[in-house]
Amino acid sequence: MTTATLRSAGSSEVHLENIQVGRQGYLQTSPEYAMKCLLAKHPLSIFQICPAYRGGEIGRRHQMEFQMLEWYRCGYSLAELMSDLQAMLKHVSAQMAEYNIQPIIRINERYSYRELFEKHLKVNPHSVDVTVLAGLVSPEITAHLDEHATLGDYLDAVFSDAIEPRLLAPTIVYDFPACQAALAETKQLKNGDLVSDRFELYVGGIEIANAYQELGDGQELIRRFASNNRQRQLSGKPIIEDDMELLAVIDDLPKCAGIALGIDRLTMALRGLEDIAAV
Amino acid sequence: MASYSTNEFKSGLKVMLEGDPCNIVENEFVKPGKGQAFNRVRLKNLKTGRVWERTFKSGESLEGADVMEADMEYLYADGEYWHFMKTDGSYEQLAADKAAVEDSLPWLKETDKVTVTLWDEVPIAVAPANFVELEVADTDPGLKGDTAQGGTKPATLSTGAVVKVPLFINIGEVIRVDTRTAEYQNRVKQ
Repeated sequence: MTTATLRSAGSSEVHLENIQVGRQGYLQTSPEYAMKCLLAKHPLSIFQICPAYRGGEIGRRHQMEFQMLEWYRCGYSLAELMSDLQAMLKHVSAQMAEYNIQPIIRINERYSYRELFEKHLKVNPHSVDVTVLAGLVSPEITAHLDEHATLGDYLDAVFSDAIEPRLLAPTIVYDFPACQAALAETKQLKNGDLVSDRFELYVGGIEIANAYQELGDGQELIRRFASNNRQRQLSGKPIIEDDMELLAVIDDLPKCAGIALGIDRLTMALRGLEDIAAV
Repeated sequence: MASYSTNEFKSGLKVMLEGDPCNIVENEFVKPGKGQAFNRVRLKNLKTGRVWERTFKSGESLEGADVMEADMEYLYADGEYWHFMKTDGSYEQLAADKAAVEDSLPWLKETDKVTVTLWDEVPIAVAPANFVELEVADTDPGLKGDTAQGGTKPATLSTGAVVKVPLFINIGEVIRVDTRTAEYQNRVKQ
């Protein structure tokens, strides 16, 4: 299946810059909204490979246009989706072996977000405050964060400096902080931590894929959009109108798990490339 | 002058930082997870040659710097200024102060071709050619037959620069030197 890459509403995700096409709409930052609209009407597992666009993202690991593989499994838990991802990588690796390319080995590391913070930084990310977090890394790591920065921004900055570069072997990180739920469900763990039901795959120290136990609650989605836009307003970024097409059907979303995988980045990891432009 | 946003930064772009013209050496876009993006930028201060590392919030911008490079010929020094002439046919002459020529003084010989960095039409840096030919003004006497051992000795050149040369080089001979590494290349037959 394919969906339109031009959409009337953009993504309100605070740190994503939408590329607007005149007054006609926005280039998708991911096919998530369009695919969820389909899922709400036809509860079938679906996938597609399509371009995704993110303004201003140019660097060794970023391109403003990149290829995304996104798929949804109806009825799946995140644990089942992890196995699904493992099977997919195994298949791709087998295909690549024919081209003498070092395949991705198994995903043999699985850590919760909290385990990684405790292992490398000796703090619990679900109870730590901003001051303590900023003290864990050198000042330039948080130099770009201003007075409007959130706890989530600090967690991201610290994670990317102190933890991400160590995730060289294929590693799944799960149970992210609740403030980083994006469009995932949140849940309370037995130990009391409130976490978002998400996981990410890292290979070679870079994020390759991002998965959610998908949120199907319209009221909660409206609250998250509003919270994003409040944060956007504080930082002087454009307000993004709610995606009404999605809100109209989101309560009908079947229980499902979904994942987005950057194909260019996976190729970088498989071929050991330093620059995404070389893919 | 136009201003440039972080997403227009690329190596070679000339911008103003803290009042000095700089050349962007490297620009790395960093986006931590879902967090706020920033750019880690290495810039070379074109006046001092020093390399700065700075972090900019993505979307921040810097003034462009009116910096260009001109091929020129070194004419003479008058004790205070060093005079250069454009080789583009205009014969335009410009004077550079000591700060601009300081780093290249050991390699500067009259009538040699150099590259001059101009900021708002004023010379701020002078780069000699990668290879220059200079006369040996002083060195210990040559030792014949010692060439196989590959030994070296210091030699003072006509400009005052001191480089290591093979033992067989004598005063008055002209040698070719790599100005980037200050290394002897070969003897030049006159």
